[in-house]
Amino acid sequence: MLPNYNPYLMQNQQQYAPQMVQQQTQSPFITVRSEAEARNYPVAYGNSVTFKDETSPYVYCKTMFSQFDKPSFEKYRLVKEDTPEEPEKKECGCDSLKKQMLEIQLDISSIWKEIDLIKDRKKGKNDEHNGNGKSN
Amino acid sequence: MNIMEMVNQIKQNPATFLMQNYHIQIPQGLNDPNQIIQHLLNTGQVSQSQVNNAMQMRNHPMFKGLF
Repeated sequence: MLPNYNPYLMQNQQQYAPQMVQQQTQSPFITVRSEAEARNYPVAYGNSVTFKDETSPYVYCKTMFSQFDKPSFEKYRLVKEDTPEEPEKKECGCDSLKKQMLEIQLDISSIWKEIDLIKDRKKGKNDEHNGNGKSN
Repeated sequence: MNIMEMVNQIKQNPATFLMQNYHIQIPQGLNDPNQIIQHLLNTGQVSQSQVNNAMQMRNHPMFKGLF
């Protein structure tokens, strides 16, 4: 026999050892193919079962209160809730004013260029007249 | 008895199948599967979770096409 071996202790340890039982995770919904199937589903007295319809967006809940009461049957429609979209970033008044100013500045600069061109042309014509007069 | 024979027997006469194979007392004239399950629930022979588990087995790939 092994030293320090206590068969009673070992027995007790085995008895109180945590049992490794594999528990299945159960869905809270019972899937059904129609409302009629949910209505006919057997439910024990004092119990409530929730169903998810596979074919349409409905959830049902059947409750059996007692032997003497009618079963209660509730039908819920699933509605998709749209997530609110982020509001578009609006341009502030300053930005539009700056744009307008820039456009006006461009217009003014193009007008100045045209004025300079006209001035140059006029100057050229005057020079031609003066030059002709001198040569004649 | 193979699985298909068993399924056919359950489908044809569920009350007889249960009484013969599992010695469960089912009142005469009760042959609708849902009514039988309701009776078993009412008499405490099965629990709601057992029924739920069994009913969800039809979604298992192993039993596809049988029910």
